[in-house]
Amino acid sequence: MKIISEITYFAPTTIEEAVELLQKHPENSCLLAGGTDVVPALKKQVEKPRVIIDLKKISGRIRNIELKTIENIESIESIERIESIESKNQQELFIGTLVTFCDLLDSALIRENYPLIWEMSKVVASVGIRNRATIVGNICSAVPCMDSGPVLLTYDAKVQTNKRIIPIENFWIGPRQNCLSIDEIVLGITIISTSPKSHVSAGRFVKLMRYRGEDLAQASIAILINSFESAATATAEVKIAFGAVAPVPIRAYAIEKIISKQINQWDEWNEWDQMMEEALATIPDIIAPISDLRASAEYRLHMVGVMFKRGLKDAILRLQGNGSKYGSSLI
Amino acid sequence: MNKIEFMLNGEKIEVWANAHKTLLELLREDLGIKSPKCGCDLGDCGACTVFLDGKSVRSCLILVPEVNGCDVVTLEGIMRPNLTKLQQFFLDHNSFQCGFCAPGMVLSATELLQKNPTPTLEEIKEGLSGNLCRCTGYTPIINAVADAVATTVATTINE
Amino acid sequence: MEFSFIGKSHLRVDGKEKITGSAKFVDDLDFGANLLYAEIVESPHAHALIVDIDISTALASPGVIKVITGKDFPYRFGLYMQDRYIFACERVRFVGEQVAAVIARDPVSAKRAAKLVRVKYQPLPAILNVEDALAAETTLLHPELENYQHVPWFFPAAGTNIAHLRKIRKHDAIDAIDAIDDTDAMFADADLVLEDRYTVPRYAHCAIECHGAIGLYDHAKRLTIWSASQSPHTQRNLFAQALAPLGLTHKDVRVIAPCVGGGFGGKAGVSMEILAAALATTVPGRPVKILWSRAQEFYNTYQRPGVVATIKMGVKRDGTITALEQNLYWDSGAYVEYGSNVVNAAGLSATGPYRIEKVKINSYAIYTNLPPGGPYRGFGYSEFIFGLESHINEVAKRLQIDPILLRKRNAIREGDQLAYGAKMNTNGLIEAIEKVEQEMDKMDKMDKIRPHSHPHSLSQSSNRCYGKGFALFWKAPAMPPNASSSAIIKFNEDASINILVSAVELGQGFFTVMAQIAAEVLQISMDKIRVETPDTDRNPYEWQTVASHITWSTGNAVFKAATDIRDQIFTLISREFQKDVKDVSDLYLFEESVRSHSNPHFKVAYQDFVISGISMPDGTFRGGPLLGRGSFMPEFSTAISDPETGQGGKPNVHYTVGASAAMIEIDKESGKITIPKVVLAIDCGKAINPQLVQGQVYGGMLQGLATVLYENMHFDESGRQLNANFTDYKIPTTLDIPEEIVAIIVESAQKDGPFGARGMGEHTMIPAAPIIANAVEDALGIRIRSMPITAEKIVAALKHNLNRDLGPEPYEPYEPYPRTEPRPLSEEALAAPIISGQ
Repeated sequence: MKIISEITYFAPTTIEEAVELLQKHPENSCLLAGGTDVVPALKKQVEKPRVIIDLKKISGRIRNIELKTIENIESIESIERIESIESKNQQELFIGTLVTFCDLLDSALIRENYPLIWEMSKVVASVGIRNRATIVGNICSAVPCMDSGPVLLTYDAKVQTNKRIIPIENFWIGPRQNCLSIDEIVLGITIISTSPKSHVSAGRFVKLMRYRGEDLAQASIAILINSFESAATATAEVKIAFGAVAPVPIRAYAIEKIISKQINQWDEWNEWDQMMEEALATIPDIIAPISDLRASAEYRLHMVGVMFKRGLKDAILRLQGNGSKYGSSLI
Repeated sequence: MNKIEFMLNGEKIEVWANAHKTLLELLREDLGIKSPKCGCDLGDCGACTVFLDGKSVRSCLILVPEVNGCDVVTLEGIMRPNLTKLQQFFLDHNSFQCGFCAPGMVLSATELLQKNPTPTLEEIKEGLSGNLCRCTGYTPIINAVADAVATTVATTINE
Repeated sequence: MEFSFIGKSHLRVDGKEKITGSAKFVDDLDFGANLLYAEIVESPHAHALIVDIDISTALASPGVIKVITGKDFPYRFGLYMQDRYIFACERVRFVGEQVAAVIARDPVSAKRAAKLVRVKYQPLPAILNVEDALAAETTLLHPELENYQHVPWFFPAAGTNIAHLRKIRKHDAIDAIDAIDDTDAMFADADLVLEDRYTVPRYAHCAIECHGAIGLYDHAKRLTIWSASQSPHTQRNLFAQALAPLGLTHKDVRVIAPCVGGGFGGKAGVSMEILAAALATTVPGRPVKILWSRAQEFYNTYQRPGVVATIKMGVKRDGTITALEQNLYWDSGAYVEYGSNVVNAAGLSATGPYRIEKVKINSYAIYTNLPPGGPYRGFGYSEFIFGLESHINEVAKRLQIDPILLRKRNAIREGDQLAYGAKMNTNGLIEAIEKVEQEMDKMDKMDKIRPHSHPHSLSQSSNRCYGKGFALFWKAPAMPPNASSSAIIKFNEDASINILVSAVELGQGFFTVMAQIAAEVLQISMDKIRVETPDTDRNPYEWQTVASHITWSTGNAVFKAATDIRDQIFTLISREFQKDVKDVSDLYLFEESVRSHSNPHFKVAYQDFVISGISMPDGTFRGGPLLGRGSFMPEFSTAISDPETGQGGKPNVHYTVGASAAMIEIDKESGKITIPKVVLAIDCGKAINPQLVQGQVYGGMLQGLATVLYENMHFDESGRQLNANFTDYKIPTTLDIPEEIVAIIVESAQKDGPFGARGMGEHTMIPAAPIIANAVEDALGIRIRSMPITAEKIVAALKHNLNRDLGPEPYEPYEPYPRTEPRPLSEEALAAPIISGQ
């Protein structure tokens, strides 16, 4: 399957250079990181000439980026390198644009502190793709069945570009559409923990596939529970997001509300069934699954319920220290 | 045309290539390296697997200019010049049938054991799950890797 | 008998070249700077008339040498029925069909120019399922059907879309055959009659190597084709026939098949390779290469045809099957030149391995506007066995008889009359059943001790259940009666040998098996034997590498060639060493030398004479280079029989039989099936290489399991395949294999096979679908009658509580996604299962 478009290839060494190239070729340029989405797209279609801007030769600290922060966060300038995963004070995580799913899996930092990212990365395609595919590329392609979306939603991740910082929830505007402007480049994803330092968290990522091997998600769910020890009582917050069952990955605020009410003092399972009933009833209003050749809308809807039920239970058990190992299969 | 310099199986290569050419095409059509195969050309089958800077990648999903300055190793490059120990296990288990997926599978298994010399059966399966084989049902392939692991572990203990 | 090489698990003789990447596949061959590339212009319509083709823009495009259309090659061709053209002429019949080709200096130029060929179509109604194809007011796909040439055992129905109808009518009282068409009478003596309908969709072979071919027509007018083919000689024959108008004869055509990266039937016969042959003739002196993309591999080679099967079975209270009526409606696709033989083969054998007194089978090859149906591992048997073996369980359930017992009671035995009147061969079916039963008993124990596969905290045992399923299978090679093989063995100076045959090493291991056969006869070590890939100029004739007949047929040829050389050695040695040995019968071969029974000290090493001749005291030499030849044809086979009853012929040389079972675990909430254990016992007559037999079981079983669990083809309403890629046509990975596969070898010798061997390669996937379907029924009480049995289908069936008991309504296939699967055939076929009798 030959690529028949004329391709002009650039490998800028700085972000500024890359931005200039984007500005110079507003019509037909395309940023390249891992290439696992871009190259198949080049093969499948497009006869028009393309300008490919490869970001992989950009390295070192990113300088001179004027960040028009839309939220007041601590300066991130000191940590960012687009090829690295870095953390600061165990409060901030930065995943650079060139970080692959393999890098995430190999990172002790991710495995220990952001286990949902680890658990999700483990079911992205297979090794040969994970060695190349980047999580930023994954969100930029904005395919509704992307694996990283739900997890990043539960971590309240933010997308840092050369121009601004965008809450992940606002990043996608439709299937295969992100909100980036023509000359905007994602530098990385940040996760800022706003919670007290003493919190414990656990979660569950579940991906429904046609079989156990490499497959795109028929549906996916991420559940994150943060539990805080305060002087008086323990409190907890639950974050839940779905993938592949709506035009873009979505947070399930309605369910979060129902669960959070009861999860604060979770030591009894006797109200489980009632809580589930209430939560499951809201799902049809949250998601909008379609029927395609990977699954019917009915099956997706049904399985989102099953995954939610099992996922939440496992997440709670993980929080309590009796759950399954991260990376184990649940369906 | 772009001028590309990279290391291929320990040799320095300089080529001029169109940017629409993939690494797989460059290796097979211009450099005579035939072990990476084209099975689907979309990154789904793993037959085109090569090592790029030490990691297994799908050479059908890489544009030639991307490898500028990189280190590329194919199956030809891991034999020096004899079979690797792992290859010998594959041979002894009659692991392959048509052999079309073999170069990619050998490289994936090699990477797996480099990263984790003592994988569990499940980890072996996970490590090889990106390489499609239609002939063997995988059992003789997995058995060969498991045997290699067991033997290596046994040898290490004996030492 | 003690063998030195037979029955031993020798390592593959081609192992090293494969493990090192040295094996050369067709796309690995170099043709130099003069090589041209062809790109195909494909039909976007499932059915349309070609009004006009404008090639001018494409021809003017940079790098383009030629643009070829159907007008350049108005020649029909086909294996069993000449129903297609090299390029579509006048009419296209499936989406993706080749309409034109661009030949250019490089593949990118060819592909760019192909987009510039302007084709004007007049769309016609597309027929996408067998029901529409058979409707009274249907559109005819092949109005010229009656003019097509075909083999004498095909029966096309002019003026319909039925390309072939194989009829079988059997009544053990021969005079009563005519009465079989009176269906009521046929079932009159049954205590129970059960009728049902099963559907199987299309499937793709998915060899990891795509099709490819390179043609070179030199200035001396000789045509050489390098192709990824299972059938080099058949290709030569068809190329020579199709291109005869250009003055080509068989001696001018040469087909070379290097290593082939998997076939499974997909590379049998002639498909895209004829394009390379035809295109080469337009650019004399320059090789032209054509490679199929993965997408083309799906929609423009053969696909496994879909089938709708209606089954009606009559049984006695004791479980004796008295009568079987089966109608097989095959969605054979746009062209059936090969595919109608699938229909024929299935029709002949649709009783399965059972002794049945009264049989009525209609197997219809039906034209549809979907890609051509054709050979696929199992050749129609996997398809009808799904319905038949599912149905037998349903019958057993109603009789309250153990389904295995029911099968044993009716299992075919040596000498029983087959549906077409010939006698069943020696077989170890009962032994296979019993051995599988023993393994199933172990499954019962597993059921109890099996740890939960999910985290303990989540294990709600109510979500999970286990089931066991059992099925029998059989298959005969489907071949023309004169399908034959031949072999030449030649010695080298050091007493190593080359075996020249023209079967194709697709991975099945036939090189190794042929080497073992020659090694046994000639007592030569395996490392001194080379078997080479075929070249029709150099290697002797082989029909095709299909039908699981190579071990048997080519094996016989190699055995004969080795015996021929051995006899020459004995004659030579007994003549030249008269003083030392008695006569020919005194000689034997051992460790690469000739020995004498009567004279223990006598020993002449091969290397001392096989090329050089025997050195005589007077300085002369005796003998000369030794060359053995062998050819094999099943001279007892005939395909000619009564068209109305199928009686009278011997179309099948023998059957290979076996039994299989699976234990499955179902997660009832998700519908997901996991498979702790699968067992398959097969009677291969003699396992020449047990490890290779085992390898076929592992590979074939997984391929079969995938067809029943998730593989499926989706077409949209215009007939375009939606999942012509591995992203959405899922073939199994390492993570999708059963936890355990037990391969059991049964050996009930095939008298006319080499060392008693018969074929077994295809068979290992045939029982996969019914063992799973029966296990699902065992676990859930739900009978799913359409493949694949996806997780989604199970959930839907459970949700709607369908068919939990013996209830009257057949389970309607749950079709979550709009697709063109055949709809119900008729009111009768849709009717509820009939339970009649008392």
